[in-house]
Amino acid sequence: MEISLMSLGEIKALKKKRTALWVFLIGTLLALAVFVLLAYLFQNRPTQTIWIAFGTVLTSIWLIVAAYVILKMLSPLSHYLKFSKTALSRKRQINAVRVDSLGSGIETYDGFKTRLLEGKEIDELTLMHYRYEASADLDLKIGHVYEIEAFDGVIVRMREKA
Amino acid sequence: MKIAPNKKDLGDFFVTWGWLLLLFIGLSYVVWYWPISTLDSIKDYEQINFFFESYGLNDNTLQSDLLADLQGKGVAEVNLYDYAPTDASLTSYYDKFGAASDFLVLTGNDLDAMFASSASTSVASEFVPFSSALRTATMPTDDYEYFQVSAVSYGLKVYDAAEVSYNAAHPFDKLLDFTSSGTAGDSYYLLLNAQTPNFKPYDADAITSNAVEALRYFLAEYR
Repeated sequence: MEISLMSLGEIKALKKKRTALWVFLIGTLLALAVFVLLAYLFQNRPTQTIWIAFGTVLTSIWLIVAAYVILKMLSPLSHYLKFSKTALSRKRQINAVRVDSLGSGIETYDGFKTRLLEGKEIDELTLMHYRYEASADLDLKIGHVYEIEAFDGVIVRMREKA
Repeated sequence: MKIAPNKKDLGDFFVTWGWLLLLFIGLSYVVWYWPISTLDSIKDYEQINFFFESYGLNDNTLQSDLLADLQGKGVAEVNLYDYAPTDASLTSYYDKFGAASDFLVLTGNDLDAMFASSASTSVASEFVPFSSALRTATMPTDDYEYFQVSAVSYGLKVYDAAEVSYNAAHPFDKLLDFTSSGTAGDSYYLLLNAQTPNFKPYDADAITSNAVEALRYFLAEYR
C-alpha cells in the first residue's frame, strides 16, 4: 500500500489549517482589543486594581498562547508547507530500501520535526539515511523492503514491496 | 502533519521558552499599570495644596476636614507642606512643593525680598491678588491687613509679630506655630499662587474654583 506523506491534497489541508490559526490569532487579538476598550471606558480609581490585574492576566494568557501558536504550530506548518511544495515540484529520488533501524529521537530539519530511518539500498547495498515528518503515522517494520520516493533525504511517498 | 498540541509539546514549550513567558507577564503588567495609573492619577485641578513656612502644625485636621468639605466638588486630595523659615533647604522645598501649591504662607521678610527686585511685576503676576471681588466672595467681614505692592493686595496677613490683638482676632496660630525661641519674630502672609488652575474666575488661566472654595473654608475656620 502506498503512503503519501506529501501531496497536493495534503498541501490544501495544511493551507486550511494555517488559515484557521491566523483567524484564531486575529480573532483573539480583536477580542483583547475590545477588552482594552471596555477597560478604558469603565475603569476608574476605585476599580483600577481589578482592571490592571484582569488585564495583566488576559494579556499574559494571550501572549503565551500566541507565542505557542506561532512558534510551535504556525512556524513548523509553514516550513513544512514550503518544503512540500518544493519537494512536489522537483525531481525526486526513488530507491528500494531494506529498513535497518528506526531512529527513536526527533530532529528538526528545515523548520519542522522529523524522525530518522536508516536502511540499505537492496541492489547496491548503499547505506541510506532518510527523514520523515515526525507526526506521520507510519507502521514501518525493520527488515522489510520499501520503495521510497524522497526529496533531499525527506520521504515524500513510500510503498512496501512484497 | 498533525499540529494539535499535546502534553509533551506543551511541557517542552514552557521549559524552552519559560524566560519569554515570564517577560510576557511582566510586560503585560507594565502595559496595563502604566496607562491606567496615568489616567487615574490625581490632576492639578483635583488637588488643593498648602505650603507653609512655620515652626510646626498645631492642627492636623485641616487636611481631612477640607477634603471632606470639597470632595463633592471634584477635589481628590489635599496636601499640607510645612517647613521652618530657618530650614537650610527651604528654597529647594519651595521649588518642589511651594511652586505648585495653591496657598502659600510666607514670612514678611521673604515677601519683602521677593517683591523688592526691579522685576517685581513679573513676581506679582505669579500671585492672584486679593481683589475686592475675591474678598467679597470669600470673607463674611474683611478685617484683614494685607501685604501690598503698588496698592494691590498680594498677601493676607495671618500673623502679626507685633500686634497681639490682630492675632487674637485672626487665630491662624490654631493651625500654625509662628514663633520659635531664639529667632526674631516675623509677620506671616497668605498668598494665592496663580500657577495652579484652581482660582477661577479670579485667574484667567484657571479651570476650577476649588481653591476659592478652599479659601472660603480656610478663612472661616480660623477666625
